[in-house]
Amino acid sequence: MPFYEELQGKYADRDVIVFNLYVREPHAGERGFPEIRNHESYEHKRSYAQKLAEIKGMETNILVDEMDQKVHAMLGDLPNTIWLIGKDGKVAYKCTWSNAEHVDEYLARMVNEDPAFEGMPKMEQTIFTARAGTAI
Amino acid sequence: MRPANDSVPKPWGPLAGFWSWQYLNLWKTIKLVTSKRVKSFYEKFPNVLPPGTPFPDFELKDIHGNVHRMEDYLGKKYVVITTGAIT
Repeated sequence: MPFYEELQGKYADRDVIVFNLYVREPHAGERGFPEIRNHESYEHKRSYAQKLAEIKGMETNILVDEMDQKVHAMLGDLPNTIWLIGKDGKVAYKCTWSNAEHVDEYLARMVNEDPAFEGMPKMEQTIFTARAGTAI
Repeated sequence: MRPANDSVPKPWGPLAGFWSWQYLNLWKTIKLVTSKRVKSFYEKFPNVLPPGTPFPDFELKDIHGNVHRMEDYLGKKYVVITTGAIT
């Protein structure tokens, strides 16, 4: 998640808004999160999102999906997907997990209206990385 | 590598690169990543809102109770959306 914080800060003056869509709690009760339980209500879910955001010092917009995961289902129901959407409201790029270098590069080319962006693959199945080093 | 401000301490030593095994349930993770259900979601993903299609409108509240709609950003902002848990 800190990668998205980095993106938000880096592109703040480039008409970019970053949303984290908080969905179900996949790690409830696991080794590192013994106190975390599955969401029991929307308010319970929202309070977890708020608490976790405070713990991690997150500044990005955290949207809380409904209990039926309506928006998440619309986006494929997978964890850690990322979607870049142009000002025209169309999907410009999407990927499973988050290859930070790719996402950062794509976003830089998109906001700079770089013609090369058109020729780049617009859907990737990637592995997770977390460094955004592209110059903009 | 997990960042310093994360809520789960980064383990020391050679396991540092495999931090997720330190805080997740190994069997639950293996069952999840090998399940047919999850596999089917990955197979369907290329056909879910393919690039070039309009992103559907949504209306959701953020953690502070503010309402966000996709249409509020049309023509004004590039929008980045990531899905998942915060843990």
